[in-house]
Amino acid sequence: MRRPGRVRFWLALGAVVVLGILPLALVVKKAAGAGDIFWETVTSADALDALFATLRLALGTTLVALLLGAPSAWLTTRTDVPWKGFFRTTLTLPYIVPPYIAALAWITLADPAIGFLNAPFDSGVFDIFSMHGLTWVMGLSFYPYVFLTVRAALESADPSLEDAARMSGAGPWRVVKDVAFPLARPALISSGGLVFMATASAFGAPVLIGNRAGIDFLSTRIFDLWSDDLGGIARASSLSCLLFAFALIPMLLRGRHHAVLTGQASQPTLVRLGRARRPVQVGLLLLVLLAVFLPLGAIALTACLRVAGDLSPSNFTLSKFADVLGASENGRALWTSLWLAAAAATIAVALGFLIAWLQVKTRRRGRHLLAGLAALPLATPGTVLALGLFLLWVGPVRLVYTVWILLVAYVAKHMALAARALAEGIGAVDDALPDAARMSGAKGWFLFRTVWAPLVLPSIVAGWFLVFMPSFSELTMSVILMGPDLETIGTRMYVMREYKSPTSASVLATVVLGLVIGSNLILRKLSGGRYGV
Amino acid sequence: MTAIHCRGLAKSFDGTVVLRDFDLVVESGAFVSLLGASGCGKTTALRLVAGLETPDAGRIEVGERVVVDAATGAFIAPEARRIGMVFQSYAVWPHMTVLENVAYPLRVRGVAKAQRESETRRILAVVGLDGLEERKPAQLSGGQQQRVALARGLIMEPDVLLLDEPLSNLDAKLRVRMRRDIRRIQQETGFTVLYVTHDQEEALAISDRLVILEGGEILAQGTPDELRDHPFLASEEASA
Ligand SMILES: Nc1ncnc2c1ncn2[C@@H]1O[C@H](COP(=O)(O)OP(=O)(O)OP(=O)(O)O)[C@@H](O)[C@H]1O
Ligand SMILES: [Mg+2]
Repeated sequence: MRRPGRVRFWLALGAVVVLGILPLALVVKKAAGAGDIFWETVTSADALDALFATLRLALGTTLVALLLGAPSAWLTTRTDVPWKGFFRTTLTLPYIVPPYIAALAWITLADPAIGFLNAPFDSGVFDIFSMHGLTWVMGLSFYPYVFLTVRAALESADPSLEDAARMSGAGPWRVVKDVAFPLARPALISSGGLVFMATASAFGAPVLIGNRAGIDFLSTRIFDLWSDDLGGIARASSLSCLLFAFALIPMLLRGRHHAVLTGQASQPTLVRLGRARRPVQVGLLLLVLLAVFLPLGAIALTACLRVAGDLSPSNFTLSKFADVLGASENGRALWTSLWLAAAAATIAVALGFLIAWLQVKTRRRGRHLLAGLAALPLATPGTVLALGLFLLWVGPVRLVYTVWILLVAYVAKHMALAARALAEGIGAVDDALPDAARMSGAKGWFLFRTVWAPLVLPSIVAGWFLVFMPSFSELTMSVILMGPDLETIGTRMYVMREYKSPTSASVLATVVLGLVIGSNLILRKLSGGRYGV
Repeated sequence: MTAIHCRGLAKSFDGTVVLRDFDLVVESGAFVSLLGASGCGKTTALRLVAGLETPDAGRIEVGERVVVDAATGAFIAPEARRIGMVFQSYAVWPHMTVLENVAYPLRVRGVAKAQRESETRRILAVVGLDGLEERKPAQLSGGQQQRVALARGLIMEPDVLLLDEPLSNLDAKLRVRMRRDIRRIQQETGFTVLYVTHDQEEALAISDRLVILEGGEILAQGTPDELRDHPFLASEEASA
């Protein structure tokens, strides 16, 4: 390999440190400098309650996600259940729906007073404003992590491993217990860990549901402390350190990986479900209904109602779309989110390309460290990162309360997504191709434009959308960093929920969903099915 | 005892015909080899007998039982056919030790642990893997993994044993020794063997009967003596 540009390496490292590492360091410094306040905050009854609630929520959600995700992954790869293609697509869909939108949806469904599901009953039977309700919503939002990971593990495992167990006399269940489950265990552990982390870090759904349920979580507590004026930032920083450490617990779990080489490319022998085939199909259908159609339908339905909760035909209207989107603050927020997400995606792809190229195509010392540092903000809870960004950009360069801090936040949080997609794409390019161009005299920008860019274009596009989608619908950091006159589509929804305006929130949610699902379809098409669901 | 009767088997994948008009009789206790070029459908034929694939047409009887019949939809699950199989890709479980891999068929059958271990050690000695009991497959060479797969098939003492190129990754000397051992164990226990190989010298030396497959159809079958001068074998010898 060639000697890489030293300048480029330091440029990338500098950008990553300023964007993502310095803010986190400032949070730690603030907490460490707080002395007594740190211990007082971390050991206060409030903090311990919040810690306990977060632990319960994260464990509960992980359990729900594993129970829903793992069996459905096995059923759709290894059995003869009908409609496999349909289930594979629909069961992955919640992956791209932001959890706070799922929360909004379930609030319209199971609000004890006006929820659709409670309509047939006199008193509210389903109460979403509870720990169980929130666990349910989060579980349904996050089970696709497990579903996708376990499915990938099962698909990459040599199917003859399971065939060999059957030829040794083991029945289908025995094969699952003795072979499929042990082979999928690393996938179960890593995806379960991911769900735990994502749940502990989550802010949107916990604040929307937890506030009315009277439950505080670490992330929502940080937000509350933060808005206290006196000593609030020191307390919020202290608690952030606790949350950060907590969310990283799963990293200690390391599933032992079995090197499974696929021998012959044969298809797995499908387990015949026999008489269980219909019941299993109905079960999966029920899951699709609960995870996808019911919540998304509820959002769309609410967006089309004049008065919330009333399903009589005269109450249906499309005028709300015009009303809500016509309101200047909504239109402005939509526009802000669009261009911010597009700008963030473009910058993240440029930076991600540099990081990925250094990591994959050079042997520079520190290149893996660079990639690791770039990935840290993605693993950091949004509340913590936002707090750090505030501390950093409050001065001497003042970006707080401007739209630029959101741009910085989106790039910092999501750059690793672009870098990962690009590392895959660049890794697949044979060294001889750029080398041949260099021997023809190409270098620098020209080399990039004429050889690299066309070869890795699919990854560039994929990386762009992978950053665009979560940035467009981002809520956590936007709510914390929003100032007067600074609103995104996510914060608009958050504000509307506070003012109890479910219809308007649903209209915006429908727009967000339409855009996210549309982007996802484009991504899927352009990447030939490698990215997107 | 346990003969195999295949009648009119056909199988296609996504519209491509892989096997057609496949009629094969393997007499009880016989050792029959399937010979043919790569991709001619040998593995597919074994997988049909095993029950890992279902035929589009035709039926298979193993012993007294109809294990699959496309016309009636009858189907006996692979694990209920009392058929052992050694896979071309070894299919050695990466999360189990050598001992656990080989002992697995006995474990499924509920054989007590002590007996399981002694049986396993005996068969591991036959395939020359004694001393490697506690290794994980990732710590074995390709040829050693292949012998684990072979031991796992032999330990079952099934009614029928299907062997898919079980010696392909061994050196010439070991190959000759192993095929003698397979033959000896078969004659001792009397199970029926359907054996797939690329190596015609091996097929001629070991089998009671040979079946030559080409493009999914049976080209010829007979005893080694009858087929020794068959043009298919001659042409392969010439090209080798
Ligand atoms: N699951 C499958 N899906 C599609 N095609 C398949 C599948 N399994 C086998 N085939 C095709 O069927 C044909 C026969 O395959 P088979 O594995 O039976 O060949 P083989 O005779 O065992 O070859 P080799 O000696 O290389 O192992 C091949 O052309 C193969 O591509
Ligand atoms: Mg084969």
